Amino acid sequence: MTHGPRIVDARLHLLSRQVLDVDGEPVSTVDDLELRGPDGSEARAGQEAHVAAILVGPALVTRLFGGRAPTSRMPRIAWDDVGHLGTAVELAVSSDGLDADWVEHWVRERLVERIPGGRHDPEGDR
Amino acid sequence: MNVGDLLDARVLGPDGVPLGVVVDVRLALETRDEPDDGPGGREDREDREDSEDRKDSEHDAALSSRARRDAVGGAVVLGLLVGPRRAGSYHGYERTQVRSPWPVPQIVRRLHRGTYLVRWQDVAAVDDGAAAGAGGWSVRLAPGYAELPPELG
Repeated sequence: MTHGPRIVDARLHLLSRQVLDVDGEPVSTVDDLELRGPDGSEARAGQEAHVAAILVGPALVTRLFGGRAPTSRMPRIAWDDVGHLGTAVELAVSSDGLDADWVEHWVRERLVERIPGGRHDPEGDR
Repeated sequence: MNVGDLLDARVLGPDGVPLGVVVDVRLALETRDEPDDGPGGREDREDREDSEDRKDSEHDAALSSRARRDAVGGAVVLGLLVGPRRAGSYHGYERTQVRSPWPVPQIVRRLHRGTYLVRWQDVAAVDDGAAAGAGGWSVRLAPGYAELPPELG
């Protein structure tokens, strides 16, 4: 069931907010929001538009040296995967199925796991 | 088009006169009833956490109860907040009725006086500036556009 809309401002309530997956694990932060038309076409001025995706990415390089990554190179999380909005953006899906933190997965699988003891789960000792 | 393209874009009137910059993009979020906090909600996650994490979870839940947290659906663009000068965000003081700590809201509202909301339907064109070589994005408003109060509903 749906009820009245909640009015938010993108910069104030969404950008730079932390994104958590369904288990509460941090995924990334909201770098930008992709706008689309009602049929998934390019958003046009003055015509109905909605948020189609959260754009995330390693922002450290552009934060240090300026500029911004091309939109096509930024991992995206479909807005349909957003479950709750509070002080953080909470997803309704697990981060394992997302491309958003592929850098972390790549480092874990290609580097950390090859270090002796790198496969040890410290939380499993509790 | 992304929200980041619109933020800080120059705003031009129907006749091309500079009016200011886009301060923010206003959205309407569809919200859903969720009496039991739903699957994947905070209570659901708490059930899966072990006892050592319980204190942290209760602390988080207490914080969350003070902050608004909604199950949301689609997000539709309502309009653009236009400010006469590039004065930053200042945590939304200029768009709420918060009055403390004095004198912060007074100073921020003075910096942001003249900010108004323009409906998305009143935006005639969004230009990335590449064709004209002007550099930077700009937004042109349609004739007869309305300047609405910027306060959040």
